[in-house]
Amino acid sequence: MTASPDTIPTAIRRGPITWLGALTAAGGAILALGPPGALVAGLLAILWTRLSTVAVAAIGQLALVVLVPEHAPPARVLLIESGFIGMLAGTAYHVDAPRRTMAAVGIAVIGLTGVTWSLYRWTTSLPIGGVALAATVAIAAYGMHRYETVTLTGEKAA
Amino acid sequence: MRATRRYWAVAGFGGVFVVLSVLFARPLLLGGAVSLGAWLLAHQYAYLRMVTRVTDEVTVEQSLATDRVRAAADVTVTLTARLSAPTALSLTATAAPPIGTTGTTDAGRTIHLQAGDRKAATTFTMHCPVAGTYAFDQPTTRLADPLGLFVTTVEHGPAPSVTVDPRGPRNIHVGGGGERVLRPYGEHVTTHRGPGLETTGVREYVPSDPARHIDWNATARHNAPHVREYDTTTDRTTALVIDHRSDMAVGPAHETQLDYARHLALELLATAQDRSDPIGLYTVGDDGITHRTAPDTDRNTYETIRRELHALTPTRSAHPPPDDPTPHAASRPTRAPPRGGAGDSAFSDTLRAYVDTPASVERTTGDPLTQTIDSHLQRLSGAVQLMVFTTDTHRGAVYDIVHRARDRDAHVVVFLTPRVLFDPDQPVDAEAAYDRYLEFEDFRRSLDRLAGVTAYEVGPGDRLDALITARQHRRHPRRQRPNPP
Repeated sequence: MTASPDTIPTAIRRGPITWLGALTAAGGAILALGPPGALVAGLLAILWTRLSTVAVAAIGQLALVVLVPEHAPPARVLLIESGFIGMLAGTAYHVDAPRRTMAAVGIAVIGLTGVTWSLYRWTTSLPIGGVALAATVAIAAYGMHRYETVTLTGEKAA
Repeated sequence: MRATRRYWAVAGFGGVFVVLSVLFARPLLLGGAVSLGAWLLAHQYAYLRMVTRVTDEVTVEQSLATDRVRAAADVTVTLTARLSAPTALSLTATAAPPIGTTGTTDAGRTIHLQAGDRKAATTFTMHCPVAGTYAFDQPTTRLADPLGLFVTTVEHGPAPSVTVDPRGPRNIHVGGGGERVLRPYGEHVTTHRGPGLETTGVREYVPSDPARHIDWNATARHNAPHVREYDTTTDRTTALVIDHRSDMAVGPAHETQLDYARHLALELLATAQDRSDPIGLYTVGDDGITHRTAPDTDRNTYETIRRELHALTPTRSAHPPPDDPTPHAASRPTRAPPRGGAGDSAFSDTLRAYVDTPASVERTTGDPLTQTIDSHLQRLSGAVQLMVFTTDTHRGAVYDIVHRARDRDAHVVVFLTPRVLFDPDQPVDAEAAYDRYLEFEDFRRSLDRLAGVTAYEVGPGDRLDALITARQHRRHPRRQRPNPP
């Protein structure tokens, strides 16, 4: 008897892209914060043994906002962010077409960033940027859901 | 596609980031929301591609060991899932047995194909308690992505059905010498002419013809008086005589000689009812007549006969002959004796006769079947057709019945259930069984040759075919299919 598909272990196999992203994020944190950054990276690494990559990336994102000063050099912030994105993209190691999915992550990041940033810059309103981001994700997700439903109509998809 | 709790948890993280970014005016938090949103969309896209490919490539089959069973029997079902190429998706297929069947659990009829697997199968047993046609639904296939974000349920594969036959006789053979007859009961041919609906012809008038029979059109055409004649229709009274003595209990459960006789009698009853023919019923047990319904055409008569036929069971003799070796005669259940025990008092002695004998039995002396013909057939008037359902065990008595019925100008149809077709030992020695069948056939033919008598054999057609086929193979072994080299 095998496990139910819903019980995905948190410590699933991590591919090289995920490791590379984690090292990049840790390096960026150390560059931006010094020894405290190394401490935070170590704590996140411990958490990573228990939690999924997505959860650790989300917690790291919070830590980034809390610990990194608001006017920190953008290059260091971008380095940490790219590390997190690399960690997330690396989870595509488990699907049928990993490279295509990693490319899809990259394209989605660029597209969502473009929509959100351009609206934020145009309106100088964070709420509008946030709503635009949420709406874009929701519409894209619903569109794919509908596409699947129509494609599998003959199979009585639920 | 259905999003799982894991999906909504990640989406919730993204939403929290958006809210926090607005609350604390930190655009950097929107970056986190963008990362999570992009990750979800990319994986949804990857999942969509996997699902559309896998639903094209997966083959889910639910196959039945047989598509026809008897009521209360089990059916073995095999559920198989095959993938032409491995996938990262986890696939779960669940068979969908029809409503009304029992004996399986969801876990027992579910198979899992983990990521990388190509084939999985399971076999389970389904119990069909009631007769009917049971149609399966298509198997349900559940596809889950490796990160546990999405699940899709698809109904995919064949939906077979199983026909559950009621327990009882099937493949009923009615005929003679192994040949079937199509209609043992139908139109009656008469030699009488008279009033009716079907024209038989026109002939020239003779002085004895009634004037009202003159056909004036024909008279005008022929320039001489002509009369038109019609076929007359008559009602023939049918008396069903069913032997349900213990000898008729031979055969597998629900497929005994009596079951076959009952089935045929019900068919004949239905035909008689369709034609509004008068029909009656006389059932004969070991100790005498157990039921009688005088022939009539009213609805109650038909219903009474039908009810009685359904309720008919083999009887057991209350007074077996001293040398009767059959165990049932000795083990016949009797009703409880009166309180105080038999022989304790004059009261119990008086009641014993009522306890030992079923009250509904009209007791006879001698062969009960013959006595039935003697005592009841003579009361029937008009054209009578006697249909006797019995076994070939009491051949002398059957001859006796036939002769007595013929003496009363009744047409006799005898339906014989040859014991050799019901004997459980029949397959053991096919040669001996065939000899017994030939002996029976001689007996049937001797009856059938008598004027006014028609004799049929009634039994399971498959067993009769097997008997004849086995005999042919023994006599002509070279005709058998040769073994491959």
